[in-house]
Amino acid sequence: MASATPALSEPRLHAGWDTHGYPGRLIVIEGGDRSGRSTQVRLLAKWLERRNLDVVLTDWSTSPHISKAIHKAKAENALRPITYSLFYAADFADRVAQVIVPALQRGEVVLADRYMYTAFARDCARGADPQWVRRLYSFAPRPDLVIYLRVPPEVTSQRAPSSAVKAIDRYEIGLDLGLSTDPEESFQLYQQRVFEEFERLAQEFGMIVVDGVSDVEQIQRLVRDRVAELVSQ
Amino acid sequence: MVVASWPLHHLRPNEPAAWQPHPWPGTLICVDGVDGSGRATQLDLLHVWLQVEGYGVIRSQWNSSKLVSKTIADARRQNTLTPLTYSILHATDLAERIESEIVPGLKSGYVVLADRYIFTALARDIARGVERAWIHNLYDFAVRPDLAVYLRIDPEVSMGRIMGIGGEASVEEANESAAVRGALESFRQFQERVVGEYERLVEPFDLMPLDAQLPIRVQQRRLREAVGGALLARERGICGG
Repeated sequence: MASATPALSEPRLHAGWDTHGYPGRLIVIEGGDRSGRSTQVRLLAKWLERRNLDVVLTDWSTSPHISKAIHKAKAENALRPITYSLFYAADFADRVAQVIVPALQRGEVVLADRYMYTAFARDCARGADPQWVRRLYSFAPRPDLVIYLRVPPEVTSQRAPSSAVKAIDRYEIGLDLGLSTDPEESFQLYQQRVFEEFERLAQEFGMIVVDGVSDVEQIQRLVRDRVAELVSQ
Repeated sequence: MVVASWPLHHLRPNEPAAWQPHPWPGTLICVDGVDGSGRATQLDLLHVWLQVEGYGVIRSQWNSSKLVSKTIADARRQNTLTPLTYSILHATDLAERIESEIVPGLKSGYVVLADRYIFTALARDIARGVERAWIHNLYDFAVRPDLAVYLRIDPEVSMGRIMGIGGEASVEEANESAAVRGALESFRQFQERVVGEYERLVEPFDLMPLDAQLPIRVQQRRLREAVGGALLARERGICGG
């Protein structure tokens, strides 16, 4: 009977991972907290619209039912690591089915403010087995372009004054990992871990690395150059 | 400070022996089976017996977590989720119960009675078309139970029980309109697929099949024998299978 069960397939998320095959384009902007990601996404969306392209934006953790439950759970400090990981995967699966795949089928440009790489970085920073989390997300369409805004953890800390650190939720500071009970120290240690994960991911998935420390306009020009190649094809 | 790594349990469908027994003093007993197989009845009787025998008992019910179950119920009413999203949400529900209820209970030496466990998720979700290898990976975080009981029942009989009618003759009576017949037929086909998937899990996961069409007291006697064996094994420090 055991032989009737197929072996665990290798994760499909590697360099040879299948392209999505839809007429649309999937563009992902990744980067840690305070990397200027959302600003770049907004500017890029405006630019794409000026070029008369149909743009669909999708942001991390925004599916109607599930994201509300996640925010509620976070507010109650009730999320443990595996639950945290799966909750975000459920949110992502819902957006893939309801937003991302339908738009790609219609031939539109999907602009994703964070994608599964954020989950890989955050979950692995919390101890998740990298293979497990990659297999979990193996249903995701492969992006046509992933731009990673690299901001070193020191700069992230400078961009987050201590008053701001106290205001953000304990998961973004990484307090749930127990690295430190001091919010600022925890924030630094957590950002360091997430940064290291992103550095590995950038190589593994062939992301376009953009220096997120330079000025907004300059970053946007670099981003547009890359996107222009893709959408003019 | 080292962050614990997970999932730790190494659930591997082709190598069931690689699924690590848990290291805690408590005992995890799960009862799976389709709706109408009499799970709740058997668990209620078992619960009382264990208490009389002096064990601390914790019940953990499928889809009952504080954080997730309401989301699942809301989404079900609106009928908007794909089988894949459902699958992950049910896993999230179990993860929350494992992390906040089951593992703490096992650490404190309780007997944890689970009304449905990963086997129900595997059977249902695979029957809904979710990829087998993918869902086996998904549930890799699950703690290995000390005893997993599968209430085996003819799909026709379980359907009769769900609809509050007794047996095939009454199911025929319910087949009045074409619409009812159609819905009933697709439900029947689904139940049969689910039962087929449960059966495929029996051997690799060492499920104990229990004939759910036997008299309730006979089933309960067999269940208590198996549970007694699992408790004894645990008390002697022999870990699982």
